[in-house]
Amino acid sequence: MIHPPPSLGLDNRKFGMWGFLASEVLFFSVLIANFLVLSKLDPPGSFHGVETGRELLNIPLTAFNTFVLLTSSFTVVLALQFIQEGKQFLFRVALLVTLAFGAFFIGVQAYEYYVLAVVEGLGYDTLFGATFYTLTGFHGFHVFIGLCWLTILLFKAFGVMGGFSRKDNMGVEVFGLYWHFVDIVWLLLFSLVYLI
Amino acid sequence: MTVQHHDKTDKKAHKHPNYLGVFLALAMLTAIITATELMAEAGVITWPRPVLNSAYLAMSITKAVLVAMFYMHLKFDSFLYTVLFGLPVLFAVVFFALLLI
Repeated sequence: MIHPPPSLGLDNRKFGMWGFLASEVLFFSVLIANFLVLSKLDPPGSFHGVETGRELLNIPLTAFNTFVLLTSSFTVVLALQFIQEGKQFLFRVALLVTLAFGAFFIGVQAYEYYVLAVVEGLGYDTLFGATFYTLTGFHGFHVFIGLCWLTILLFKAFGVMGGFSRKDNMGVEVFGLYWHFVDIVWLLLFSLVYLI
Repeated sequence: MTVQHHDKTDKKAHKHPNYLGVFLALAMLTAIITATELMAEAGVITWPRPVLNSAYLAMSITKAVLVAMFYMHLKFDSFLYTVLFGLPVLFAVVFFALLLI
């Protein structure tokens, strides 16, 4: 099928994804601002045994999880490089590794939520808890959507619904843009939520 | 059925950047941030909190820029993508600056 050339000379799918990511910047900006303003307004004695909610957070575990997501971003970009070089086997392996790392990230986040909510008693009844769960939860939801998308890509990569090739790999590139953006958001959240 | 694309900028073949080098830089910055914070909590480092926070923020922004430039290929793709993505980022920066006032 021959598509007419776009007036800007850019691929519509890629341009559309950049437009979507631009809207996501504003979405996460509001959530981050919400967290920065409200999370420090809890009255003294709101948390069990500590002064602020931030002291309940597990920094080494989150740093490890940050490294996991960083690695998944690396494997996505490798997958794109492999398919552009026509290395189908390595391309599929890189996508599978990305899926594993992404799922692991979600698993660690679920464990973190369990410890915070059940063991430490950090609920939605504090401003810190409410804004923390909202912000990191929406990020986790984005990772989950990315994993669903990646699963569909994997079906295609393994020959179901066509396949990718050296010349037809825009689907992988557009997914990569989304996944890297989710990574960027987490890199900022790690500092803004856990450290600052 | 073959789908033919028309992306003039994408057709400009660019050599793949050193993805491993970028990854190592990102991992190193993450390690530095984490180690600094853990040492600060343990009292090994006694720098003022604003200095530490500024350093964390600067390193995080550096990491974000590295991912956008090399992994998302903004450095090599059409400048229109940078404008499209950069405008809301600029808006967000102004938004955060106004929050601090």
